[in-house]
Amino acid sequence: MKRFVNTGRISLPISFAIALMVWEGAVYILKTPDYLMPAPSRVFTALVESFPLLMRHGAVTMLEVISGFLSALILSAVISLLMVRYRILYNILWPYMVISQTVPLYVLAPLFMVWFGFGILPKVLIVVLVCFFPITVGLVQGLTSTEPELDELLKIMRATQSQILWKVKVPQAMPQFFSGLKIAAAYSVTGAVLSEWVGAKEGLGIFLTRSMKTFKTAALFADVFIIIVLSLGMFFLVTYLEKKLIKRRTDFYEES
Amino acid sequence: MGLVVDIKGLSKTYKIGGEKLPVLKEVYLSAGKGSFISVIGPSGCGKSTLFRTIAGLEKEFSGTVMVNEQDIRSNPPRLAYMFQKDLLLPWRTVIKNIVLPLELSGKLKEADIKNLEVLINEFGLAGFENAYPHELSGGMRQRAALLRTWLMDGDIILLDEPFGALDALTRINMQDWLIKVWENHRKTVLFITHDIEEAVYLSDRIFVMSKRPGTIIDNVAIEFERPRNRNMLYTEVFLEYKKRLVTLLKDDKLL
Repeated sequence: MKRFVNTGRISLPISFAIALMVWEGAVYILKTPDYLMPAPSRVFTALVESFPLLMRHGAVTMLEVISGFLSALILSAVISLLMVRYRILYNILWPYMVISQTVPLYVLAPLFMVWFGFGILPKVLIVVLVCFFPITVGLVQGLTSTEPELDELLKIMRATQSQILWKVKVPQAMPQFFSGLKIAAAYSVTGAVLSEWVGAKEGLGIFLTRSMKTFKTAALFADVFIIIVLSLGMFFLVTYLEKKLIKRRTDFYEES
Repeated sequence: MGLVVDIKGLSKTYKIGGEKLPVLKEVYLSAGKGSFISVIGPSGCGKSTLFRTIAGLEKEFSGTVMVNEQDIRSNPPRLAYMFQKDLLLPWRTVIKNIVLPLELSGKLKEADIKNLEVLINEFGLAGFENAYPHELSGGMRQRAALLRTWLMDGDIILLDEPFGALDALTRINMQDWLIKVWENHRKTVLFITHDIEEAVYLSDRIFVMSKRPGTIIDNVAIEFERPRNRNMLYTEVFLEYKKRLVTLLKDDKLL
């Protein structure tokens, strides 16, 4: 077991280093032009050169990500609680929520821009749209997963509706809630970038568009690298919060 | 000795799809205050449905069910109930699980937690107050669930096969322990089991149920003196009881 864990820890950096070397070597041998496929070393140089610029654009993107993510979180919490409490709301809203996920984002993004302007509002709305669904699915599933016997036991104990909700259903929903939250966190940055891509003043998405149009492929790769780091950052932030909030419950995960 | 549970002519039919499935038929059962009553019968005979009805979980039935001399139709009964599953909340420590009934009824005070120490000791949970359920053995989880049941409202405790999921050895220890705790407190206990030995060892009276639709075929008073000890199970008298119960159940073509 221990050996397995150790290999897991070192296998990622090793495979990553090998991939980088193969990439660097291939570009060197094939003499691929920079605008088609820059070598990792070129990407690194571009990253260093454009770093202040990338940080400025990244700050705007993260502002959209954080506000969208938090808005989605609040909206999900309110709507999930209402849907669990009033079955009829669930029946009415659920189909629309599923349908909202089937409309392509690259159609919605320009539409939102036409409706809500060039500022950050349409971007925040796209992030909300991306994050809302996975969070709500996780939360609704978690809130409704109480064993029937536990419901009955609580009834015999004469628990009130709000006691059942806050003392049992909400804590019980936490693992599934966090699963949804992690998916939302991982996609939130991509959502913001996509909506900036179609038009924005600032942001990692518009930086992508500009790099592409000017054939600065190395800068484009550097931008993608930042997007990956930020997405992972969001993901691990949620994972960290989850561990902080529900530590010592490893077995509970295995059970449910 | 007043009757705290008195059931007369209880029948119940489930409707599954369009079909009617009779589960309980003309059940008569009563329990005196402070007695240990077992209900024994084959799986699926309606024992659990009977208990669920007494607890007020089943609304549709015919006949009368009196708990503490009040009709449960007009006065929802106050009693304690334990399912076969321990149903401990995995995110709460043992102590937090145990005090849940007090917490829900708003009776939880710091002083109570102090008083709980005695009970925690008696239930063999001392030193595990701050452990989480998954860190406990099956027997301990069951004892924690039982202590939680103990702290529920009312002096009547319904136990639906509390030891059903335990291994044979743990089960024997739990029986020894339960009988000791019960003899200390003398609450009214209604106990479901399909283990004849367990029923004889623990009970003052055993009600024998037929297969579905369940009805009470007979009831047997167990006249071993209290406090009970396991040696009573190796006597002629015990074998007589066992023989009688097996015959009753067998005549019903169950065993």
